[in-house]
Amino acid sequence: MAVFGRALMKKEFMLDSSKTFLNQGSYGNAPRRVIECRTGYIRMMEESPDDYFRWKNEDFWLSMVQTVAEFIGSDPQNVVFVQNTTTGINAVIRSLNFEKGDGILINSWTYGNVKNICAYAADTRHVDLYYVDIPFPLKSVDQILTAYEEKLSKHQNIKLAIVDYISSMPPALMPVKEMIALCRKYDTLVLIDGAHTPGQLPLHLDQLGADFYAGNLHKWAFAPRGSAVLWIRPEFHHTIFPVVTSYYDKEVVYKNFFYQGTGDNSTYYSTAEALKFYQEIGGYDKISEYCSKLALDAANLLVKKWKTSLYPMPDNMLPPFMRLIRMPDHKWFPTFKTSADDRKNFCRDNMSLMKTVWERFQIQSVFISIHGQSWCRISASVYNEIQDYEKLADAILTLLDEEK
Amino acid sequence: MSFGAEIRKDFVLDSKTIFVNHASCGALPLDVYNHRLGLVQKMESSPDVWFRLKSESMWKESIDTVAEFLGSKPSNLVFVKSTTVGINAVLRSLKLGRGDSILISSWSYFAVKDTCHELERQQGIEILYVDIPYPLKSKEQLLELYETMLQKHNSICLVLLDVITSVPPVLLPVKQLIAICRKYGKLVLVDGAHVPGHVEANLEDLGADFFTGNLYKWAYAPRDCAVLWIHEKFHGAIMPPVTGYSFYGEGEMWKNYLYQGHGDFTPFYSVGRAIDFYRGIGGREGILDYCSSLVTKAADLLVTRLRTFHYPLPDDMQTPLMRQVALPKLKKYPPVIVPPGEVKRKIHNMMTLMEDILNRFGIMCACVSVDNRAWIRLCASVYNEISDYEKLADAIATLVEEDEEIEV
Repeated sequence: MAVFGRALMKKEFMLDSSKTFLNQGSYGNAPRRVIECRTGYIRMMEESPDDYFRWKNEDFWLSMVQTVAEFIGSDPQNVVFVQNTTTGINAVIRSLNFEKGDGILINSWTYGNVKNICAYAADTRHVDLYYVDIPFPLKSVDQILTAYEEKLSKHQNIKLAIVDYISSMPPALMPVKEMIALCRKYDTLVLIDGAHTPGQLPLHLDQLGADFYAGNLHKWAFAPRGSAVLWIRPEFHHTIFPVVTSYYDKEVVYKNFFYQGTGDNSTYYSTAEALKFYQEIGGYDKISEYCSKLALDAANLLVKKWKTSLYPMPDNMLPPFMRLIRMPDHKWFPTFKTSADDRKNFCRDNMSLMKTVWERFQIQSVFISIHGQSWCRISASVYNEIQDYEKLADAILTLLDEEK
Repeated sequence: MSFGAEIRKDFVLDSKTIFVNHASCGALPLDVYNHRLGLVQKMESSPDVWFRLKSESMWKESIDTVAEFLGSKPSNLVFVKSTTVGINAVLRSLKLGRGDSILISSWSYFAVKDTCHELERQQGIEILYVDIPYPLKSKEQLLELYETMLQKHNSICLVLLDVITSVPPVLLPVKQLIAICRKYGKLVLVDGAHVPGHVEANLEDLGADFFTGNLYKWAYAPRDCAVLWIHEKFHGAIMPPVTGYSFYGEGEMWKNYLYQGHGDFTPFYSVGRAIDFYRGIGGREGILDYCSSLVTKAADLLVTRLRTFHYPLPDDMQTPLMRQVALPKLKKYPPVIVPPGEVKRKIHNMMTLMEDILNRFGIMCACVSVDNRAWIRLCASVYNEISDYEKLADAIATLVEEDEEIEV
């Protein structure tokens, strides 16, 4: 049984162990052995590139897809690798045949990149963009479901809904099954943005009921950055093409995604090693047990020390390994007036605070504003321990003290 | 500078194999490879700092370096993973549709053809081809063919021109072709996949609207490193195939290309090291001095040994570093016979032959079928020497002998 916490960080990860990292959620972190595995593939590719690209590449791909498909509860035929969720979502939206007047439905918690993708589609393909403003504070899951039912019944032209499985900002576990059911009721296609889910939740994609799903392996499943999956329901296998055409095969969906020029697929080929690591340190049960408890304890600690609160949402929407905590009232943590439906200013990075906390206290965390209020998003990963969050708590209190 | 076997050990290339196909995949110097891994180490040790605090300045610094290398204004240049991505970015961003045509040629790279036909399917764009004859007699003949197509088809919106084609390897009179396209008021996208490091590039003087080329072929960068040059008047219009960042006008153009979701962009940031290596071993002059005469000798050697002939090309259309030589007719490895006028699938890789030559003789070379014949497309790079091609000639000679035993 692996020991979690800083000992694991020192043993297995490439993170600078003299510092504190509370942001697995943004960029992920792969263990050294996985990076080395990837380097091995790069080396192989450079030692004999023709051999790699012409004769080895495809076998590697097919073998990795098998392994990953099992992890996400899917038939391998439904799965292709993409660089990241953003790319996967682009592939779906660019491939679907939208006609003038067709609609896409997103919401205020939809990831920034995805909002941009949809806005671009709206502008260039005359798609109508529909938006659910999620109430703040959010009292119950039903508020979201009601808002969705209202939009879907009122606008029967909505062709596609993009639904987060676990949203990024604020981090929340969405009522995905109910939302899929609603979309089915109104004959709307469903694309799940599952960026945060591989490794954080057990996945059974073939049973989920969605039409498309994209999720990162490089966040919570310890793969190197640049490895994600796109899951496509069988009836759409001949509809969804990658955003870059390199190879054009009308029959076999994976071939188009697999052959992207003489590009480096080494990140994909390291996913088996990542999943091996995941299982070796305890698998979903042990990892979830540790990280969920740590996220809970860390959030409680911060709320207590800062005398603030969690982002107001129902308990059953708290994501397993992340929390969003309100910052104390102070000029370091700016607030500004904004209305609940101000979409442009919904979520903004607080880069200067991130920089200060890093430079002065060697802690990496995410500081942002949502609805004009200042928040901190923490992640709890296998290399974290409660002392990490004590450091964060104290760092902020130090800043508060200094400005008195 | 000691080229050939001496410098071979400075490359990651496997020492057991002879490589005479630099053009396809490039070859990475150990120095650049290690530098890149060093950047990966930095990225992994502190990812937030890398992505949030360092990325933009690394990007800008690397763009400045490669812009200078290619005679480009930094503000017109962005990184993309490959020429194919660059071409996809341009073609997918221009709002072309039914009634519009794109002009390519029978020599266009297969991924370019596939991209065009995908757009034909998705958007109803017509794809027109300049069907290049075999043999091509002169530059003038080529220019006339383009002139004729442009006169005949008003629907052409954009012309996609190669500087150096892959198969057959040909140096096209690109400036003159661009002038013709301008005469007819057409947009020009230049596929310069083979340009960086191979032929002189002065992108600001090229006269094109768009240019895209690989740094990982002849300029020694790691794989997944290429550039897209966009004329200023199109800065707001050409979006990357992956939308991530907020687009048009909200933020500078280059940010659209940097923010593509999360991934490993260390190949881009290694480009300075690659260019240092390139210059360190002699730059274009030093490299071409050695390699150009080597590839000429190599091609002549094969033609003599195999009693075949060079791919028929006007002298002034030979590329500096690549040649194509006819293979003897082999029953075991027949070429693909393509009906006349079939421009889309004119060029094929001869995979079985390549595999056999690699596995039996330890030589990696490109064997292609075009114009109803089998050929070897040769390259000469700094790590090659004439003995590589002597061994290749021996290998083919062996195959010929064995082939003579085969009953039809």
